[in-house]
Formats: sequence, C-alpha cells, structure tokens
Amino acid sequence: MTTSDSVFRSTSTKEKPLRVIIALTVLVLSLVTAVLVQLKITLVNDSAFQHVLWQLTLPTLATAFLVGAALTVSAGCLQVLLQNPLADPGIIGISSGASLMAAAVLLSGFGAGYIAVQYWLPLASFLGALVSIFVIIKIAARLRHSPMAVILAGIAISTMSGAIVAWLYYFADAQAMRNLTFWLMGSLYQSDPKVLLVGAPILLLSIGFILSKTTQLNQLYLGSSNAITAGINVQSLQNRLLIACALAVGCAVSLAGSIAFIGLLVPHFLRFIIGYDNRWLIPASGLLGGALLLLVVLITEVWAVTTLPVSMLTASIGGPIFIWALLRGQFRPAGGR
Amino acid sequence: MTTIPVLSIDGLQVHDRLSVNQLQFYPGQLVHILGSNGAGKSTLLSCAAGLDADFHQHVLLRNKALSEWTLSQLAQERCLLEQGVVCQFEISVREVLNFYGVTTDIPLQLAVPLELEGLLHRSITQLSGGELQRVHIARCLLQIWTSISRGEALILLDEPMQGLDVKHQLAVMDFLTALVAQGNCVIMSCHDLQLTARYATDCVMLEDGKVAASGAKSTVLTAANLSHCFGCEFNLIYSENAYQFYLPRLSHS
Repeated sequence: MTTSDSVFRSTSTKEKPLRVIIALTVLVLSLVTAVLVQLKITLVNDSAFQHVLWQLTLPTLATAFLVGAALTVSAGCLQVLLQNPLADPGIIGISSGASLMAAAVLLSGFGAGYIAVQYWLPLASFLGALVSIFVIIKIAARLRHSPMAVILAGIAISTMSGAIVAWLYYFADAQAMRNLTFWLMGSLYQSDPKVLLVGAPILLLSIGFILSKTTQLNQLYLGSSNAITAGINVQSLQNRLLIACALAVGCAVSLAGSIAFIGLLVPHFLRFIIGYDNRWLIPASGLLGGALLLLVVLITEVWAVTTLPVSMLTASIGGPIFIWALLRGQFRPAGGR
Repeated sequence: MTTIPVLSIDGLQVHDRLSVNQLQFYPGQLVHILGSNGAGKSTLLSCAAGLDADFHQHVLLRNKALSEWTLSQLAQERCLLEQGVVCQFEISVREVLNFYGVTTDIPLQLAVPLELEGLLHRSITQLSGGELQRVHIARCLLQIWTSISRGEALILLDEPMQGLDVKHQLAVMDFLTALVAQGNCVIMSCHDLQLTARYATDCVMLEDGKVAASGAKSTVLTAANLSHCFGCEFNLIYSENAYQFYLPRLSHS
C-alpha cells in the first residue's frame, strides 16, 4: 500500500486515563491514611490501638475497598454484557437474588457461628447471584437488550425475592429472625478477619479475572455477532464473566449486605472523563468504587456516631442521580435515536 | 490457472433458508449477490463468515474448512458487515474504530473515501444512517487491514450501500474496486443493478435460497435472468459512455 504510512494518528488517548488512575490510587491511599490517623487520635493507649487496628479497622478498610471495587467492576462488566449502560447488580436484581439465598441459609438455622457466616453465606449468596444473573441475561437476550425491559425484569426479580424473604420471615423463629434483620441491613462493620479470609481471595480473584478480559469486553459494544466476527468466543467469554460477576457480587453481598447504585453511578460517571475503553474504565471504576466505600468508613470514624448503614448513604446519593440520568435520556428504546 | 479459491461453499444447507451446492470465489473478484428480499443473501454472507459453527464444515476458506480455523485466525482473514447493528452506548467513532481495528491509526486510504475525519470525535448514536454505515464499513475493513494490505482478505458486506448517498456509493465502490485490484475478494449483496452493472466482476443470483445463476457478470446479468428473479421485465439501456444497465419496465406502460 503506497499511502498506508499516511494516517490519522490517534491523539494520545492513554495519558488522560493514566492520570485518572493515578489520582484515584492517591485518593484511596489518602483515605486509608486518614482513617488510620483518626484512629490513632481517638485511641492514645497503644495496646488498645493495636487491638482495634488488627481486629476491627484493617478488616473494615479491606472490606470497604474490596466490596466497593467488586460492585463497580462487576457492574462495569455487566453493563457491556447486557448492552445496558445503566445496569447495576442492585437494580437488575442480582443483589436481591443473593440476599434471598443468604436469608434462606440464615433462617433455616442451618449451622450457627463462624462456619455459617464464613462458608455457607458466601456460597449461598453466590448461588443466588448466579441464578439471577442467568435469568437476567436470558430475559435481556429475549427482549433484544432493550435497557428499559432489562430494568423492569430486574424489578420483577427483586420483588419476587423480597416476597420470598417475607414468607421466610413468616415461618422463622425469633432468633433466626434477629440474625436475618441484623444481616440484611448490611454494614461494613460486620467484617471480621476470619470471614474476610474466605471473602477477600474470592473477591480478588473474580475482580482480577474481569480485569484480564477488558480487551475482549471492548469488542462486545456492538453486540455478540460483531464480537464473533472480531474473533471472540462470545458464549464462553460471557459465561465465564457472568460467573466472575456472580462470585464478586455474591461475596460482596455476604460481606456487607446489598449496596445499591455505586455500580451504576461509578462507571457511568467515569465514562464522561476517560471514555469507553474498558482497559482503563474498569480498573478506574474499581478504584473509585473502593474509594467511595472508604469515604463512608472515614465519615463514620470522624463522626464516631453509630455505624452508618452503607446502603442508606449510597441510595440517598444514588437515587437522585439515577433520576437525573433517566431524564437525560439514557433509556432510549433499542434501535431508536 | 491454479489459483485456489478464497472461499468455497460446498453443500451448504440452512433449514428453510438456503441450499447451495457449489460456489467458488477467487482473489480479485468483486461479487454482487442479487436476489429479492428474503432470498437468502444475508444468510449466505453470515454462513460464509462463519458466524454459526453448525455450518463450518461446508464453508472453506482457502481450501480449509472453517472448523479448522480458530475464531481469532478468522478474524484476521475475513470481515463481515452486518445490517442493523445497534449500540446502546454513546461511544465515539474513534473508540469504535480502535476497539475493532488492528491498528489505532486510521489509514488515509480508508479515511478519505469514507470521509471519516469529521466523524471521529462524534458519538455513534448521533450519526445519520449514511454516516453510521460509513463508520461500520471502516470498522470492518480495519479489523482485517493487515490482510487487506497484503491483498489476501475476504471482505463480506451485507448491503453496504444502504443509507449512502450517490456520491458515497460511488466512492465506496471505487475504493472496493481498488482493494480487489490488489488481490482481495469482495462479496456483497446489492439492490442497485446499476452499480452491479458498473462495478461487479461476478454475480450470484439467489432465488428462494437456491443459486439461480452464478458466474461472470456478463453471463448472469441478462434481461431474462433478471425478469425471472425479480418478477418484472427489464430493458437494456446503453448510456453515452458505453455503460449498459437494466431499467425495470413499468408494468402499466
């Protein structure tokens, strides 16, 4: 080709995302430092500081970061898989599926104490998340990925899960009910080193897997047959990513309850800044999601009031922004302009 | 000549849609697939691209069944422009081309005939039908640009002229003709018989999922074949610059 050396050079698209990633990393580190400094000020007694640090604060920080990252990374991934820029594990019913299974385990009184919390809860949440994810993906494919239809299907799944949990309440005994109520409220302060020992590796592995597939995710923006033409084994990629998302969401729910909206808002917000390249967008989403939950921890530490339910905060901020996104016309009918 | 065919179809049966015994396509051919709506043009192109693994045994790329190629190998050898691609994301044209192309730099040879420069920064959800079609054509060709540069590519296009104005139709056809001259093979469905008469080297005429005629343009593009295929009479017109084309005869005249 004679003219192939004359080209439109890509105007450096890498520098800006890189700067965003660095800024977000700095943000995460400074939030962690701020929490630790605050703790040191509150607890002057050194042995008390050591104890609280290792038993409470560090596990809480790790839980906050990992749960935030898991929810936003899997949301960013699900948005591409479902062809829906506003998908969120909370909105499309994946978290509620996970909560339902976890509630069933708690209410059945099936094993108490650490064994139940450490192993059965994450497993049950994972299965719940997995079932809801596959139901959603089938519905989405059938409704030709119309964003509104997928959201409505998610509402249906959430409603059904809620109904079943209500029925379970009806039949449960008093102790099991207290366990469930406590757990369903969801908080970052339930974190415990032993529980985290199981949860953290699962979260890290599933996040890592999703991050390793971001190049392929880029080729799914125009739907599955264009991805196949571009050389992607869509069925296998989709199944693996869905399992990774179910693991991440299920585990996050079992650690901190159901936290809505950050998965929707974080990738959506970052797309305005760094664009749609998932190689940058998804890691940046993970960092910002983690930073947001760390901020919740910091606010709680500084105020030193009773622990704030995370869902309360994220929903208070997320709800209005969700409505704003709706009015901005994000929900166009499929194929419409 | 012992050139091996770029693409051969061998006993391809798609239930209720397509039944093709033998078809061969060679380097340097610009093939137009003709036929009425629902005749099986899109099915033939998507089978040729290997979208459905069920038919991989019956489609051969350079004498090797598609089942012997990996998806990522195929992605470098052939492209497919599909109809009706929907995107829910307000992704920019530059990003689309980067994600699907082998290179992030857009060759001028591609950017000039498709007039991409003004579109690069725009969101693909805000383009007009014709602008979007130019972007998708560019995306498909960029995916196999290395192979195209070597003159070995198989370019499958399902109604690439859809939405394009006359100027861009001619620009794209001239561009495809230049690619074919380098040894690439273009197979496209087309409803504009004037473009077929002017640009195609070969034609395949499909009727109810079967090949009604195939071969060099002069043998396929006859008034008899056309009227049989489309169910209306055609007049052969010679234009001043010695092009000949077919005009449907009005049934009431």
